[in-house]
Amino acid sequence: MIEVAVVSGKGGSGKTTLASSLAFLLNEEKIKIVVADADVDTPSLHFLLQLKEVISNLNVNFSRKASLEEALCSKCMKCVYACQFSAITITGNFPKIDNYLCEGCGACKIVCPSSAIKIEETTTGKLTVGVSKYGFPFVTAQLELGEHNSGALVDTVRSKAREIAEKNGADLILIDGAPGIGCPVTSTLVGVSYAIIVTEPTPASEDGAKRVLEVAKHFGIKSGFVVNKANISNYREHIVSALEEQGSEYLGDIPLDFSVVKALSEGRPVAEYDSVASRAMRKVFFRIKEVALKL
Amino acid sequence: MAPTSSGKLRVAVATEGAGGLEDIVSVRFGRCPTFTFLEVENGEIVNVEVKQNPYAMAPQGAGIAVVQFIISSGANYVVAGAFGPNASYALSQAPVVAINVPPGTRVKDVLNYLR
Repeated sequence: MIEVAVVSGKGGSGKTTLASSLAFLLNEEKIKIVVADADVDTPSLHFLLQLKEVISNLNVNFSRKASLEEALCSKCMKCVYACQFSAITITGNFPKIDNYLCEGCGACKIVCPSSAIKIEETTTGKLTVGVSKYGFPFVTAQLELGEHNSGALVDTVRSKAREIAEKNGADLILIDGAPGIGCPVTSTLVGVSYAIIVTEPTPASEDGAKRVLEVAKHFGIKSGFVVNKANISNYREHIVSALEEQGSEYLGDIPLDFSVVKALSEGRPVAEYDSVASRAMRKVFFRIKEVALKL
Repeated sequence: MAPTSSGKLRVAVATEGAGGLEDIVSVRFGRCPTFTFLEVENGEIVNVEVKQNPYAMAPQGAGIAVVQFIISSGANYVVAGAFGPNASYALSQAPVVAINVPPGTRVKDVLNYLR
């Protein structure tokens, strides 16, 4: 069983658009897959792959927050000064803890002379396991507002996907990654066999792609790149040679046409339509199948 | 492998569970569920101890926190499938040698990768 991640560095370049079509085409080719949405800050793959059945929907709790029991509070305000995150302010007669600023470090609890502060586990996000309307298992998660445990939540999504893949004897786990190069992307890339970098012909996308390619190289992961929206500018030639030079393999172009807009607004993978973009995606898919599945 | 003054080596292995020598080395360093500590004398494993990774579900910065955990444990070597960018940097500043092993490697075979 292998794991393939779709990443981009820059957001909005088409990770989810491509990942949904790859999932659709892998499934059409009777390859047993599990699909995981690792973009836990803004998950959106479920809009295109649509869950026909939800198997479980659980809260994942690994954040910690301080809470104050006012009846025990001696109003000494030591906690206000102990907090390194300015999460505790004096409101009225009592210290008041701002949940969004609290990091759950516990400094306030340590200094409190009257044991009025508790550190409790709170919800980091929701983990949903289901079946896509196309029939394959699908794992997604959604981070709570103001939470920043996305790396840990991505790890939870991937562990769940692996568990299902092992149970079902799946051939491949397809992971739709988060934009950027930070914590959630590190957690998306570690241990995958192949990274697909989605770019668009713009300088910003080239920069993002190079940055995420560095992360992949750090982990020794082979990668290939796709030029999405290839027909929107002349920058295409430049981005292809720049990324090839950095050691990533060119997998193909996907032009932007009206079918992409239509597919996204109707909530279906582009590959389901018959269009120039869809045919280009099939070509890219066969290239990826050739390269990534032989690892 | 250079032995320490006591003649014993301590090797921390990122692992998936509590299977001891039969366990599989985790591909993830920072967020692996457990660490299996091996005590090695004259090239032989003389003691095995499994500890929970206290930072597996850390909000952020799991890699760096685990590096501190490994240093404090007195390990001479740390073994995992992969080390994140921050963990790699922190380890490069630490008196611990980081060793990458291929996916699927078993704990009992990691000594083959220490040189």
